Amino acid sequence: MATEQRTTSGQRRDDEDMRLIARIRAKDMAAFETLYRSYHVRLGRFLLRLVNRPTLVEEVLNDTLMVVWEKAESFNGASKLSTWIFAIAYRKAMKALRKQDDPIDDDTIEERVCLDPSPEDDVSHHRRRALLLEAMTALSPEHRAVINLTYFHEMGYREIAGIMDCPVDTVKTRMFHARRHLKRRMAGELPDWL
Amino acid sequence: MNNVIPLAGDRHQQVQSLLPWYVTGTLDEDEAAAVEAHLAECDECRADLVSERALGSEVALASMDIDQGWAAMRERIAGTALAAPLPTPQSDKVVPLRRKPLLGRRISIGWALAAQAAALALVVGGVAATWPAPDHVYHTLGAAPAPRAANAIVIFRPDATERAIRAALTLNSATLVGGPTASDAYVLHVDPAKRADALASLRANRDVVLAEPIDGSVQP
Repeated sequence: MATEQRTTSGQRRDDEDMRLIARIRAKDMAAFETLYRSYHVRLGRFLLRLVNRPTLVEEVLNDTLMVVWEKAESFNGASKLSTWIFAIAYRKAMKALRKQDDPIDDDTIEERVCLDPSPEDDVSHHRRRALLLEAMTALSPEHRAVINLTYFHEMGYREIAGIMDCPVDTVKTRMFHARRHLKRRMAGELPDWL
Repeated sequence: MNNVIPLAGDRHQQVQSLLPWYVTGTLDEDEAAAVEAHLAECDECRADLVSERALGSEVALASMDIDQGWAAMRERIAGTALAAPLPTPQSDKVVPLRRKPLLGRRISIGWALAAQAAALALVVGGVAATWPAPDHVYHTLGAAPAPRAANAIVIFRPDATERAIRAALTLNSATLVGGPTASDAYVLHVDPAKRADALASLRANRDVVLAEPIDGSVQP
């Protein structure tokens, strides 16, 4: 039953993808926005595991979807649209990594690449993100800043202390409390991340 | 949540407090080595390292703003549409327009109408592209008077009628400076004082796919 449901909803999404790409070929910006938003989370997750740098992920993600906008006519329908888009993203990510001269481990990439996440995965990703955003909103601005500067901007604690004009131990303490808060709020979800 | 917990003196506690930055690779060599030495002998910290990695990834992903990403994409499309070649209205010997790459890449340009504009520095999406300086005025032969400076770009839906396009331009007192480009973009001049309103009105029009400002100033 679960497999049947997955097939049906997966098929529905593939059909919707085909409708969108046909409109994108005709330079329909509204269709492109719909596609952009529906692929943003999936591609972001995929790319983050490949390139490991959130700021680079944003760049590669838009590079990828720019190709979709500009070269929509070269998608010939031989594969699913998601396969075509993820393949573009993969190539863009590899190119970005080469540019950065950042060594990558090909063996682990194969394990990490999931070209076709199930719709159930998507739903749980969205739910987790919503929960996490809610948990982050509940933090004080100071705690949120430390979290954001650490994980998204990947700054060291000394640099953060400089930015926030506070002692490094305060940064560590804020981080400690913020992590504890997020882990508590996400307690039921954490096993799914691992 | 503001009480400062003591971190010094206890190796386990110190490592716990450093794990987030160990995960992001921003510790210095000595600190990273100390963390690794402790990880080798502490099950709790190894388990925390795994969940720390997961938390870091999730937070990084959650911090990616989809609206900002989309706004950047729109601007990029506007920039590309702007740089796409226009059909030349006069086929006789157009002096090539020289310009620096837009958005850091080479883009071909055959923009005869815009070439007549004396000079224009564009900032699309916060990225400046320098156009020929006033000393380098490019003309088509039998040079026509330069059109008004372009300060907006618009893309209409592919099925928009000529009448609808004309009505949208007239309504917003917009005049055509160039276009359609290969990407079907039109370059417009609107009253600078009313540009924001004109763009808002164009965006609200069902026949308009995209309407973006072009911020220009003459470069020396």
